Amino acid sequence: MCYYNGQLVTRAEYIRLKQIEKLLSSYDFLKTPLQIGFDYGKNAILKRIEGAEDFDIVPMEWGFIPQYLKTREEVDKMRHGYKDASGRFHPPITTLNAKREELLLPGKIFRDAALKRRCLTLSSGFYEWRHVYPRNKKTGELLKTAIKYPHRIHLPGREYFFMASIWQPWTDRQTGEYVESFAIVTAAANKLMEQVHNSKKRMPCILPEDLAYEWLFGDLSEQRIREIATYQYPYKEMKAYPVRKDFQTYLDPTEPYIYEDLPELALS
Amino acid sequence: MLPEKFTISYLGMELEVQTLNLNEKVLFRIIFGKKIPPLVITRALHREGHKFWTSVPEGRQDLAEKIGPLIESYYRENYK
Repeated sequence: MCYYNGQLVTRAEYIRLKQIEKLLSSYDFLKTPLQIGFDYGKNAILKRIEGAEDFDIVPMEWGFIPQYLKTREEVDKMRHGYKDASGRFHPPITTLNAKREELLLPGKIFRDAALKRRCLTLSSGFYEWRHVYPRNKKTGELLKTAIKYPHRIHLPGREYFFMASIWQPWTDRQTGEYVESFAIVTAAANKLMEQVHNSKKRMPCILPEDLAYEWLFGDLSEQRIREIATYQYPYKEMKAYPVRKDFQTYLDPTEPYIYEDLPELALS
Repeated sequence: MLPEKFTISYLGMELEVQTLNLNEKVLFRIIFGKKIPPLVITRALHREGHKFWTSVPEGRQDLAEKIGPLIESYYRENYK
């Protein structure tokens, strides 16, 4: 039985609150506002303590910063796109995710990190948008524009789980700012995620505890890195449910929401 | 997105509230000025299934229970 501030809580909730305490006391990054999702904010990452089978929980910037970028201005240009002197637009390059298929490719930005700097992203759930194409009420034909329904995906019974990730140290050559950034490894979607993230059919590489341990601490061959990065978490142990379209501004973003026009996922 | 900062009224004072997010758990940091240290609160899950406001770290539960509902009111008024 656990108490927090005199209130009876589950062990999992107690651990969560204690983790928040640790992060609050250790890191200034939580003293500034953070946001959910695709805004290159900071996340809690399990990073190996060099030379030990132990880890720290550290804040890292989501969005892998390649070594060839010299300044924060160049990083921002890569992430958001920019127009060059001739007016030509260079579209953004997203490095939030590292595709499993590209992890170890020679000459690619992720290779060195995949070999030497593997880490784990701590997650209690993540969000993807399911695209549903409605039918024209008169002709019955599918419309070209999809309606997007956000879903929360989690592992029932597991307060936290691990996503295989890689990290990168980077220093701004102009200001000296030191940043540790990371990318989440993604692979082909399993049966559940094929239907939820049906526009891209990808999913984060979620690892069970034994593989998470190996990913973080193992002296791994390239073959083994590929094998672990290919692991597909069993879809029957995952659950997805719709949430409000404005979940990002909602006090409890995890709260389920019913859309009457949304077809059920077909998992049987 | 969640507002990064907003204000609430408490005992005649305008208090700045910062929104923090950690692994989808929303925390609020309330700034009281120079003399009183900031308070961080979150909604936690009671073993019996209901949620309650708590301070993080422990020790300022009374204040968490007073400030938490004011934040809920702010959300109700601005986001529903």
